[in-house]
Amino acid sequence: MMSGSIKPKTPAQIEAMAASGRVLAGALDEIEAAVRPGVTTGELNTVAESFIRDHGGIPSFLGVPAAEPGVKPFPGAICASINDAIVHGIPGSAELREGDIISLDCGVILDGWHSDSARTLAVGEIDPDASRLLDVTRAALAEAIRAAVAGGHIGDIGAAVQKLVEEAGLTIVRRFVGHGIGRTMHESPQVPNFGRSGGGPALLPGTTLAIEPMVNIGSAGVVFDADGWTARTDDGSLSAHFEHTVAITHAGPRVLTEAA
Amino acid sequence: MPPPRNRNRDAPDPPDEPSSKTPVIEIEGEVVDSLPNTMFLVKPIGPNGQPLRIQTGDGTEDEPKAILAHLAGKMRLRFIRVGVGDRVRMQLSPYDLSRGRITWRLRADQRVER
Repeated sequence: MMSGSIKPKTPAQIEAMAASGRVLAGALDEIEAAVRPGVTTGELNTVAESFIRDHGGIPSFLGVPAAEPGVKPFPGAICASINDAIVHGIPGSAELREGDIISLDCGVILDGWHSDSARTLAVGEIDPDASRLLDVTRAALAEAIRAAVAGGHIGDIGAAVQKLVEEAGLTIVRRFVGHGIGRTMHESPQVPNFGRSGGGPALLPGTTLAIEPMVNIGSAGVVFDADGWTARTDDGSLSAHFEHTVAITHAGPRVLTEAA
Repeated sequence: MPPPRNRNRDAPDPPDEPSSKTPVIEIEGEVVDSLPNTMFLVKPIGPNGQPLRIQTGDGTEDEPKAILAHLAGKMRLRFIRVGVGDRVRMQLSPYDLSRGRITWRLRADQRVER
């Protein structure tokens, strides 16, 4: 799934990816507005899927093949991961409750170009630890994007995330990584959320990456539900996930998954 | 949607995971005899520059015997000449303290600095 070389994109191709990203940002805004106690993750999935299709896009998560043999392809347009679920939660009958946190991850294909973005939201009032987790993870993504400059390396991104998260006393999920993105959702290179500054492949203008820190309050260990997809923290602690699709340009990093 | 991490050349390994190398004991000594096949007898020297003292089972102190040491492969490749009287650094296996590997020849101005 993730072999081959890094494929830099032309400015026109980056524009096409930004168009895809705008649809995605709209879909995420739409489901964010729908998040409240009592709503099910299946309902959020429907909201996202119809928004994407109404805007000419295709939900890219539907039918993604599993990494493990014997697991069915992903059945939703979004990943909805509540509380201790880190990523890849399957949307369904689970109902949001006051005080939950929910990570919503979604992807769009528009005119053949992929975009991928995620955010973690509070359902009603959440406790201060959870709130801090969201703040730190959001800040880690911002730092990571700042580190994604031409002339740097993949390791700079991971080092930026690692420094901020570990100084905050939280832990980084190492089992999953960010990724190159373009004509397919997962391209080379991998973008780990840890690493050594200056390590890994060089960042060239035109490289497009999905940068996605996943941060836990407790253990970094991962366990999977029987569905083969939903990844949870092995100690039941809360987990947050923020993601943007970012293009490395001569003018610096450009976030492609933002509303116009 | 984050894919699982592949441990390949794309993904640098975490720098903070310690490697599990075979433990070695590193000490310094003075070469007392040069033997065939780039083997040497080396007398251990303690951190104070004096011959190393060891506690024996009955509570008295003793000087350890000279250790039979060979020259590390890298030193042979680089033709580092070691002779009687040189200070050297050597590594011992914790499993057999009677043999060592010479990994460094100390210049006169280096001596025992640790």
